[in-house]
Amino acid sequence: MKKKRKVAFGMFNLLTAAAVIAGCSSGSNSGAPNESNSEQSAEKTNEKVSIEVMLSGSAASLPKDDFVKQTIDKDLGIDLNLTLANTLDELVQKLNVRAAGGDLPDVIQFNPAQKSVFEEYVKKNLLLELNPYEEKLAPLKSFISENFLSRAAINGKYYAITQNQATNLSSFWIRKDWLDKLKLPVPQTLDELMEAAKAFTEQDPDGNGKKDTFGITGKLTDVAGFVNVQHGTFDGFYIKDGKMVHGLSQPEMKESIVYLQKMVASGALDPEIASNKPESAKDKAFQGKAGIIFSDWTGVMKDAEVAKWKGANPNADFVMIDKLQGPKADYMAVVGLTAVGNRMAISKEVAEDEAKLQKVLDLFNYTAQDKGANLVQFGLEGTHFTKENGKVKLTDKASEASFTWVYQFSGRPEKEYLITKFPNQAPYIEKNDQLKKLESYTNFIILPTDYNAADADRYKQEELLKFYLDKNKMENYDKFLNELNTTFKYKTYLDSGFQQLKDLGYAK
Amino acid sequence: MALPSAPKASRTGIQPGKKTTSLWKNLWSMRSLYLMLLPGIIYYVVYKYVPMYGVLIAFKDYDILSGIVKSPWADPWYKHFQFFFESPYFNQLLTNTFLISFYKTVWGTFLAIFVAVLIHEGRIPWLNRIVQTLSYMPHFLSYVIIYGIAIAFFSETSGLINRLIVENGGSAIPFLSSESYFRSVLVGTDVWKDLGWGAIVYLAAMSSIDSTLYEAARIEGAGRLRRIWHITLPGIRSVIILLLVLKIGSVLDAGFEQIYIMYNVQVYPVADIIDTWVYRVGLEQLNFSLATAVGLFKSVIGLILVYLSNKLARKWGGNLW
Amino acid sequence: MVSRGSERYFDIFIYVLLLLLAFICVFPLLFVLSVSLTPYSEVLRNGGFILIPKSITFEAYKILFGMEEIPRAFLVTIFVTVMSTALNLILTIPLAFALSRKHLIGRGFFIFMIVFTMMFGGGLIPTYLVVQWTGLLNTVWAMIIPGAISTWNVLIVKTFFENLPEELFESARIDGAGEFKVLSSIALPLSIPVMVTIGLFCVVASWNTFFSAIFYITDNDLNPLQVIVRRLLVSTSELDVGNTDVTLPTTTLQMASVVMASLPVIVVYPFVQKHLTKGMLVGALKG
Repeated sequence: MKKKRKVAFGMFNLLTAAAVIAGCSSGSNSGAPNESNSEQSAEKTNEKVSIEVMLSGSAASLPKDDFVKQTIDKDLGIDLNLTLANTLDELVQKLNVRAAGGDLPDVIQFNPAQKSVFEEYVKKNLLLELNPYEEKLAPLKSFISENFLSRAAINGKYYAITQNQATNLSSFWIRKDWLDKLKLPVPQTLDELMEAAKAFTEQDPDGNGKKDTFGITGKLTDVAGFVNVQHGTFDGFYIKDGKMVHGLSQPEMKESIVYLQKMVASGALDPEIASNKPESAKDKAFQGKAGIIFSDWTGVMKDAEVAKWKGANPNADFVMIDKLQGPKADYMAVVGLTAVGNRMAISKEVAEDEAKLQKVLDLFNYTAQDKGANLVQFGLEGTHFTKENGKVKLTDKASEASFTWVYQFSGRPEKEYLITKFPNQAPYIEKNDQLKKLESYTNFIILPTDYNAADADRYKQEELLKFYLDKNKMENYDKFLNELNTTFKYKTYLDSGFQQLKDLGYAK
Repeated sequence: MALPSAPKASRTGIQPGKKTTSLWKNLWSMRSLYLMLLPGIIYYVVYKYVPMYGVLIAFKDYDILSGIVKSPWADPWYKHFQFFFESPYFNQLLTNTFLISFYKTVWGTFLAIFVAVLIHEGRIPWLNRIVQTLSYMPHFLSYVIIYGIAIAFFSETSGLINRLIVENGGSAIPFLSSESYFRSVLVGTDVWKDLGWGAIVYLAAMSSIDSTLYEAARIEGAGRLRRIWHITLPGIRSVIILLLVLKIGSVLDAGFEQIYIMYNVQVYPVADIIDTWVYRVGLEQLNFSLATAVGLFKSVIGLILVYLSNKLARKWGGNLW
Repeated sequence: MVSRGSERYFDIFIYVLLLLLAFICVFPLLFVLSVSLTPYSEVLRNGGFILIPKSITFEAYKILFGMEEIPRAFLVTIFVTVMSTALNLILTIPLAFALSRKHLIGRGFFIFMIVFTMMFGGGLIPTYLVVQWTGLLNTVWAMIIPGAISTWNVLIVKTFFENLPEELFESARIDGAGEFKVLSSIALPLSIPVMVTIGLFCVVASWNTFFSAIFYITDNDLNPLQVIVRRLLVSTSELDVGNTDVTLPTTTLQMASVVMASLPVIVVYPFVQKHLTKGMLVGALKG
């Protein structure tokens, strides 16, 4: 029976170990349930209101010694807590369970991609109507925009403070050193871009004696989107010759697909362009396998990114293509007309506590003016930045303030902010601003309920891909549209879309 | 002896006598067993059964504010099921889900047993230990990493395998974007991930086989293969059956995370499964009721299959209940 | 009929297969480890693929261990793992033992009751509400108690108990031992391999847990290790691409985080492994 004792002893060991650790951590681990429950602590300590803000905070990790929180807490007399979700999906799920549990965070950030979730929350009456507080939020008017509330209005009522949109548009970046080597000019037209891509594939631009490079990488859907706008169209609602149209059924769409087929057939595209994930496409360009990549400036030109591709190949040099004449148009990108940045909403329950609501409003105003606005953008004056003639200049300690952006509840003046923060990248930020854009009305549309957008999107993506890759002939395009409209009820969506745009006064 | 012993007349607790009194008597005589059940059953009731009223969501138009019970009933009550069944992709989703899951189960089970037998038969302890530890390590890689590894090996342009093929004059094979290869990549990486991990439970079962059986067989002149076939495998039969029955119950779970990370538009026709579809629908239109309805559909199918396979397993004496 | 020669060939055959198996599994792991140790520019230059690093750097690990949350996350994870495993074993063993007794009245019902939960669940929202109702929200216990029993483990242990020779229990009962005594002095000592196995399953499962942390925990101080690793892994795929303020983690850093988070559990295995060698039972039976 030796074995028996051994087991008993083993179990005993395990249990004591567990108990010891439990003992140690219960002191520090705040084993007490609901410690940070906002209602409780609000009741407990009258002087310090606890405010929870939920954000899709992504890869940010807040330092233990978080000077932004400390400063805000001190200045406003609150206890500010951020709840960060890693992904958008996670944020929505988290919100939903907490809504069900009657425990919504005080302030909720809805990403532009979560417009439908925001609308759902408004419909479910979970968010505070902000019309009565417009005056109290006056500082936001000058900081954000006159219509910072109204541009996300639903039936004339305001439910969110909208931040200004941060648009980093994507464009082509091309290896200047390769162009020089092959004695080619920087492309001015889409055709020239194609020729450069072809030369990159066939003429061994890296000079290693092997035919192991290709022209364009990225995602095929992105490249297709670009070819579309260069033909003056895209897959969405826009105004053409004064009339609201949807791009999919326009003749330009067919022409642009034919153009794309030629690009694919030339062999100048990454063979995996249809299945690339964003990171693997970027890696290919940075490795020196592809000479042209479709990306925004942050993906190529941020210091960390430059270090990557310079590190892999010190001679590499990317230039941005900010103007290109297409076969039919010279648009470079599509932007949503109403597109706003994040929507910041306040939970309805906050209004039950007058003092707390005031603090929440104070918080928004605080991050929109003077000290607070600078704090959440650049850090502490004197430590992380200095002011010269009213202009912000970052110090060499600025990197310690790299996490402050999560506190930008009122957004930021995008361009000035970026240029101050990324002085090396200022030219690209300027160029990004000046890209010629085609305006999209698609964002206005709320999906009809009996329409399964996921199925229709899948069918659309699959079939378009077949056309791009010439696996399906163009004469079948109308058949495809017909199938999409009937079996997948795309017609329902289009009809409803045109009607909604008409009701909103955009379409005649 | 590792087989479940046949019911014997000598079981304690059951004695001939008057029916009702003996029932109570029997129950009372088993009080210590019920006491052992109690904590576990409480757990199941609180954390598994209480939340089950959530399936109501499948039949309602769920409204966060009113809560599950007070949300209005869907009209018609099968509305959300209908939305799923009427998808033009329904048949394809079901087929893909079933096939991927089936291949994973068959290959996974077969190879895990094979690995367990190999390790069980290995006679050099240090080699065994190293192989076992190594084979269990891939289990700790998340699918994001595994996808990275898959790209390193299978990518059409930069993958190791394709580089070898091209250097030897072949043409690159699009493993990750071709309908003919993608399912194999899915099944292969999944099986690889859990090869050593899945073998552990079989190894544990094998270690409980009475070694006198092997000795007796050796004296009778049975070779290694025959010993494996007649002693080792029968010795773990009940575990194999148990795990198979459970796997069958989750046949409509084909591995959302893996597929979501690895698939792309080109392979949708062979890789889109029920769970990825629900996820995409949910991204476009917030719909709890649909997700719950589909979940319920999967559960019912799973339950029926478990029930049937348990009946079948009874024939081999490996039934769950 | 069985010659020494054919035995030897059989052994060689087995070793070859074992080595092949080791090779298949070690190859990609070497890749993870090597990438984590190689400067990122080197990784890029090699097309993202490195098996033997030419130059080694611990830069990624320095960054990782420089993150202020890591030590605390380690503590949380260790606490959760130890407590979950202990709780799992304490709850699973008696439950499985009782269910393995074939004469138990209502046995079929109880087994069906637990198997049923493997297929049917209430879903996220009602489960969240129960966790809230039982007061676990935003405490470490939310990562421990809701997963206190794994039905899979219960069924495995039950099957093992069922396979034990009935005669042993008989003789114990004749000696007047109660069920608790039978469990602790006969069933348990004879089932060390399976106890160790499910113990291992619990350790690994709770070590890797992040789901409950994501939904039940809002206090950043209570984040376990896997939440942080996951953040490093998923961030490149979704939100942060295009976020001006975020510096995306490099592949090197991602791989390093994987090594950091899995190494501690991987080293557990060799300790477990020695209990899985055959012949345990016989010694105990005859002793």
